[in-house]
Amino acid sequence: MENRIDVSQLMADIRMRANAELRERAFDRGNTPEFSDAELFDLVERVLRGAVDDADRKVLLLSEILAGNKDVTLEPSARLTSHRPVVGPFIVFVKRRLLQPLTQWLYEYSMDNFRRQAQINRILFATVQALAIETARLRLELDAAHDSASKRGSGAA
Amino acid sequence: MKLACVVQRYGLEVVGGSESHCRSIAERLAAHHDVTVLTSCASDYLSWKNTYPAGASAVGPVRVQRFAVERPRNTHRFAELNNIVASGRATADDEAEWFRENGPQVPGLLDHLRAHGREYDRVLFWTYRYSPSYFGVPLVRDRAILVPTAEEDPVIWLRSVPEFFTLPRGYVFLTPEEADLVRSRANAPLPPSCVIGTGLETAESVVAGVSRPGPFVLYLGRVDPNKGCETLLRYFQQFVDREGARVQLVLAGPVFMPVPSHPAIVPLGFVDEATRAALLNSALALVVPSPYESLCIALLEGWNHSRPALVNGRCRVLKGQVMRANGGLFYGNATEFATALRELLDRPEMATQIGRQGLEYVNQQYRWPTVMHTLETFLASS
Repeated sequence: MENRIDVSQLMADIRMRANAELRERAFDRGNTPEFSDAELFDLVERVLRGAVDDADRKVLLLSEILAGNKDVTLEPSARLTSHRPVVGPFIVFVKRRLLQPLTQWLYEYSMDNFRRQAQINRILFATVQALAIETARLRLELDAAHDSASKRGSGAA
Repeated sequence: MKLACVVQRYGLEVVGGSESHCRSIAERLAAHHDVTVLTSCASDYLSWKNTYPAGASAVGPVRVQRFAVERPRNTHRFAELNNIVASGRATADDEAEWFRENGPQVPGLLDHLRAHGREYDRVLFWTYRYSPSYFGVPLVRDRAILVPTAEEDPVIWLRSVPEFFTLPRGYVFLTPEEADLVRSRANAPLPPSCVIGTGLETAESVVAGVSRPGPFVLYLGRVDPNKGCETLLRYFQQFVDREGARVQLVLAGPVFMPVPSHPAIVPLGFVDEATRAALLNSALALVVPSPYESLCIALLEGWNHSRPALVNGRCRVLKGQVMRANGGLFYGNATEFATALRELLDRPEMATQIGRQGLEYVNQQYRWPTVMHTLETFLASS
């Protein structure tokens, strides 16, 4: 077909322009002088975007390390119980049949926000993981550079 | 071949994506095979209340065997289970209970598969997340063909799913991205599969367009936060607030969320087929903001009318479809949305050409003879 348009090329151009606009906003009005460097901005954007895009697909190390720690676990579902031995079942019945329907609107509102919070946590964990990987990589490169420099130093001596 | 199609709901009034897909396929298979649809008596996917009579009937050319739903969904308990599942803390029992409560609970259908499943050459199951498929596939796994309609939502991450994905004899996928997703989750290499998508009839070019003041982008379907509409409305408002009302957003579908009162945002509510076609013929582009899809039929419909698409690039299926078709643009944030929309507005010839490329892709991949040929070949060989 004549004049066929390659969407991947077009999207690369659109993304470049969108990134330039975003950088300008973040630099000029966002009080982040580091973003005056376009190359640095692109690297930062790539790391953060990669973390966000893959957040749902990854086993996150931080989640695994924290697993089972009740202090950092969201517990959105209300457990309807009573500690009273005799009237307990009646109290639970009243809670379930009367109080729960009355507070349904609050429950649904909270649930929606808990879901959003859980998703934000996941994205933040993914971002921390991406940054930790970058740091670890730099650490390894730095160690290798030190090693080779010290070898060169001892060889010269 | 003697075929059974298992699906959660079935009927002319049932408009869900996987249910419509099942009906379209079953009706076409019935032209060459002995086809029975095994389904529930429910028409509503939220309550699963019995509305159709149980027993045998016919819907068009297809024999339908309906089974009563044992009990409607306990919505409160289901909401609780959803939260447990979404939190990633579900036990095996919680997961089994989630699949039961997701419903519809049709023990008669499962008994039928136990007693008569071996009388069918193949049993096709639609949508892994519903109870008839989840509990039915293991009963006839040597002849089960699963049409999973899998999406990247929390259910795919349940711990029982990888094992379940190893059970069927074969798979019918809607997109290559869906196949990749299921493959990545299964505990073992997948059995033979094919990718069919769905079929479309040629759009009527004689349908008149609609008259609106200026260009508009069109959203088709339920206006619902789960479909990405909250984000779409926010991005679009930012765009028109910054650039002026150069374009309108027309929402054609039932509304399930607050829509801001804004002169550039036009919620039409439910529209009939003729209006839908007229809107598609007149729109600048079709916008698809959904974060989760296994196949977006609205996207294919847009291309069927030569409309370019503007889709949520965070959804792998949508992005993959757009890239393969060369039929649209995608966005990952508000700035990309604005840049891509500006591109479509400022370069109408480019937009028209991208729409044409989308139509060309539909002509190659998504006409019924092509789709059914792929499926028939697969069923004969699997």
